[in-house]
This record gives sequence, structure tokens and C-alpha cells, in this order.
Amino acid sequence: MSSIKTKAMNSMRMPGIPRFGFMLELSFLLVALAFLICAPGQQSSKTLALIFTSIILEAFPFMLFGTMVGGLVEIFVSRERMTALLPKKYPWLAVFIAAGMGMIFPVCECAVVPVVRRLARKGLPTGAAVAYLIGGPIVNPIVTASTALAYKFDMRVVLLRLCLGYLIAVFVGLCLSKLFGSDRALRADLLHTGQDSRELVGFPVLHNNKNKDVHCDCGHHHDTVTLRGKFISAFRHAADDFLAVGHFLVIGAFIAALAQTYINRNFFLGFADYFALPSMLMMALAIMLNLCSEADAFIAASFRGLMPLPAQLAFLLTGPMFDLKLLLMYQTLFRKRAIAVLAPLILLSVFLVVICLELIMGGNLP
Amino acid sequence: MKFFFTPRENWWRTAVFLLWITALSFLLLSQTYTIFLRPEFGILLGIGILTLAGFLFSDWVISKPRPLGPLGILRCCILLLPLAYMLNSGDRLDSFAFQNRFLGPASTATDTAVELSVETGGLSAPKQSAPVPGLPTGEVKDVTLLDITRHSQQYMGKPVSVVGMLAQSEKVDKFMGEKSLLLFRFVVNCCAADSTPVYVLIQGSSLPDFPKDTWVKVQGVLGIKNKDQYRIPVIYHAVLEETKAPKIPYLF
Repeated sequence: MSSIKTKAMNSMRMPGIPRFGFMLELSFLLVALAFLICAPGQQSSKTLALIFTSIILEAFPFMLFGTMVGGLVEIFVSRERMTALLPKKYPWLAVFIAAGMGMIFPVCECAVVPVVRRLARKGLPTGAAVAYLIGGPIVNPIVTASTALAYKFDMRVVLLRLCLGYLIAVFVGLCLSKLFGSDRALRADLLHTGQDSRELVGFPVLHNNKNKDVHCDCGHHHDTVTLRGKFISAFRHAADDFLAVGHFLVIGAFIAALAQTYINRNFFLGFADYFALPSMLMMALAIMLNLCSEADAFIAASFRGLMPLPAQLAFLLTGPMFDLKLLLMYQTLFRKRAIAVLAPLILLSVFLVVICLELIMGGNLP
Repeated sequence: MKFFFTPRENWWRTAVFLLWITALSFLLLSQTYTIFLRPEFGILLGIGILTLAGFLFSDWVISKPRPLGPLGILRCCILLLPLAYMLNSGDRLDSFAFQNRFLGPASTATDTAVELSVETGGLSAPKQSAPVPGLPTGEVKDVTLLDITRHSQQYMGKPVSVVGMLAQSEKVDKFMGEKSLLLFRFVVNCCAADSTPVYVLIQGSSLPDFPKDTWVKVQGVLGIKNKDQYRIPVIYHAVLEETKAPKIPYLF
């Protein structure tokens, strides 16, 4: 009797849709529309709209770029080629290399998620994926230059951000690879099954006239033989990624815009003299503001003379690795259990590093 | 090349791509994107338009994508939400944003004060207050608030003309011990979200009573007011004149 009741209840649900996720996203949309409709002419409403739009307009091109890179990886990089590139004798070496890859392939935090999604599908190990995910947006020449500019070429800050960012990325990558294998960290739709690449479930293998296999799971009929066909296919995969990840960016950006509009930054100044509290507050600020890693150095620099240097570094390290929109976008890459470990691991690592710095430096204002 | 797209199938994806292409094109061609981004970022919008056009084309060329269910449609609506907000946004950040982002007198201390703070590990108190400069004489220099903040020594004691918006701040009033009029603008690095305010105090014998957020041109003599540990830029003998808002409201 109970099994009949369960079957009846299941048949009433929308097939294949996690109901909680649907209701959550619907609630978000309704709340956002309520903010828009209820007080359209007020100063706060216009400020919210302006900041929300500006975050989106800045982030979207980078995210589109990231999805394009992901699409090109999907079409042009085979699983076998990816496997051949990885170090075999010392697999942990991949984590060290991946954490610094941002210096060669700079990427911001909006673009990195779709890129890593595709690389993970091609077999990039979990540890290396995480290391590039959180290290790429910090350890790159553009962020180095913007940090130098914001801090008037105080190389101490630049080097601290670069080195500590790299070390944290390596540490978190190694921890994740130890705690989770790829099949337990990554989402099921990013995994490959079967011993032979030709046995991949739902992955039709396409041969081109040079006998090179091109793997694609989209289930479409598309030309991956000609160069034109490959580029069109890359666009198609990029479009799918954009639609899969883009709404998380919008949600995260909206929450950040709410924080930027309604939270007074002076609130954080009242705690500057306490031990560890400034660092925690600056980390919270970084998570809420959702700033691009190329620009957050200027915000951190505006706290010079008001917050101790370790607290400013906490802001500089946390933002590119973990903020609201990234937390949402990680759901397209990792399983919930992995995110539940990754998020506190990043925050704890940053916190411990800056606390050590505070103990060494004495918490003096710079 | 076969086209698989038919209007009734998966028009949600097409709507998302088309509406975003239209919005970005409008922002780029009318140059109104400078309300949100620094001008150089226009090229990013151009790249975004081309990429979205590529998405649209690939949808038409390749066989029809899987139909969107309710969740997919909901997510398309979420992707269109910023366009609705774009229509409601103001044409600039104003005194409301200034109140939330302004960190007090030390946050936009002059370049000299910042150098002092780096050397001594803290803001050091100047030995004596700087004298109030005399009435303006000589050629008036057109400067921006960013020039005043970063290169104050260059313009100290000289007649300057600067454009900005008017505001008052309880924090500054409390600090100065009297009601103070501020002239402010926002400095943007990438987009309006990362903007920080720069300001000067205005002092003059008979200042007109303009409402807050009015764009004004202020002429006077640049000086420095020392109070506690801080050095605050002030325009003395200020003469205010209402002016048209600049095409780009921010400084870079």
C-alpha cells in the first residue's frame, strides 16, 4: 500500500526536476521582481539596479569568453590528449602546475568555472581542477599588475597576494584530491564511465578523416570533421554552458548588489582594533561584494590606514577564490558534499594564513 | 547547410540571446554603457555581442537542442532579469551610494598623508594647521577631484575649478564640528560596483542652497585643513555655479 502511495506521489512531481532547487530559483526571481516593482523611483532602488547591472555587464563578457574556451576544449582536446599531458609518475605534481597555470592562461573567476567544467570532463584530476579554479583568478599577470597599481607598487602586498594565493590553491587542491576522487567530487554529468573511451555512456564517438576521435555528449548531429563544423560545435557547447551557468552568476550578482546597496562599509571600521576580527569582517565583505579580481585591489587599498594589512590581504585572497556567485557556480561543477568541504577549507586556509601574518606583523596599520 | 530551427521550438533560448544582443548593441552604440562600466570596456561588450551571435547561429545550424523544461524556462527568465533592472537604473551613482561607501576623512586622504602613513606605520599628526590661503589670484586651473586627491601638492594654494556633485555627510560634520558641504564624485576602476568616492570640502562666504546631488562647478583656492591626524582638501573662497552633468559621470 505504501509503495502505491509513493508511486502516486512521485508521478505528480515534475519529472527530473529537483523540486527544492526549482522553488528556490523561483523564489529568487519573484523577490528580485518585487524589489524592481515595489519601489522603482527611490534612490536605493536605482542604486541597486545600477550596481546589479554593472556587475552583470562586467562579468558576462568574461563568462562568455570562458564558455567559448570550454567549448573549444570540448571539441579540440580529446580525453587521450589530456591524459597524455598529465604527469604520470607524480600525480600530485599536476596540482602544483595547475595552481600556477593562471600565469600562462590568465582567467578571471567568472570565466574559470566553465573552463574547468570542460577540462574536468576531459579527465583533469580533481585536485588540479580545484587548484586552477581557485589559483587561476589570483595567480595571473593582470591581477598582479592591478594589485601593484592599487597599492602604488608596494611589492610586499603584491608578492604576499601572489605567493599566499598560490600556496592556498595548492593546499586546497591537494586536500580535495586526498579526500575525494574525481568520481566523488565532480557532478555525475561531468564524469565518464566505462573502461574504454568508446564505451562512454551517452558519448557518441565521431571519427574524422584523420582517424582522430572527437568526443561529444550533446547528442546532436553535428559536423565535427570540417574546421567550420568544429567551430560551430564549439559555439553550441559554449551556448549550453552559458545557459547552465549564467543564471547562477545573475543570482550571485543580485545578492552582491543588495549587499553593496544596503550595507554601509563604515560598519566594518568599528572593529579595526580587535585581533582577528578585522580579517573575518574583510573576508565577509569580499564574499558579499563579489568583485572582479582585477578590481578588488582598489577597494582593498581604500582601507589602507583603516584596516591592518593582514585584513586587507584577507579581502584580496578571499574574493577571487570564494564569493556568492562562485558558490552558486560551483554547483555546476561539484557535488554538494564536495562544495560543503571546499568552501570551509578555502575560508579556513585564508583565515589561518592571515592570522599568522597578523601575529608576525603585530596587527599594525600599514 | 541545413537549418533545423523552427520558430516554435526552443524560442526561449533564442529570446535570451536576441534580447541580450539587442541590449548590448544599444548600450554600445548609444555609449550609455559608461554609466555602468569604464569606457575602455566597450570592447568587451562588442566581444560579448559577437559571441552571443555565434550562439544564435549555432542553434540555428545544428539540430534542435533538447526542449527546455520548466526549470530551463525559469533559468532563461533569470538570465533576462538584468535587462529589466537596466531599464530602472539611474544615470549615475549619487549621494545615497556616497553615504554607504564613504569611509570618513582618512579614506580619501591626500597623497601626502598616504605617504606619511606608509613611512611611519600610521597617520602622523602634522605639527601645525596649514594657513588658510588668500583670495584667488592668477589663472584658474581646471582639475578633477582625482587630481586633487592624488596630486594635491601640485595645486596647493592655487585657484582651481572642479566639477562634482554636492553632498553632506554626518560623519564629516561630526568630525569637523560644523556643518560642511562636500563636493564628490566616484572613481571607477572596472565597473560602478567597485567605485570609491573622492571629495573635497567647500568653504565660502555665501554658498547657494543647492539640493544634494546637484552637479556644480566650484571655483576657489585649494588648501588643506589639518584636524586630528588627517589632512583634508578644502576649496576656500568657493564660488558655486550649477552645471550640466558630464557625459561620463565617473573618474578613472
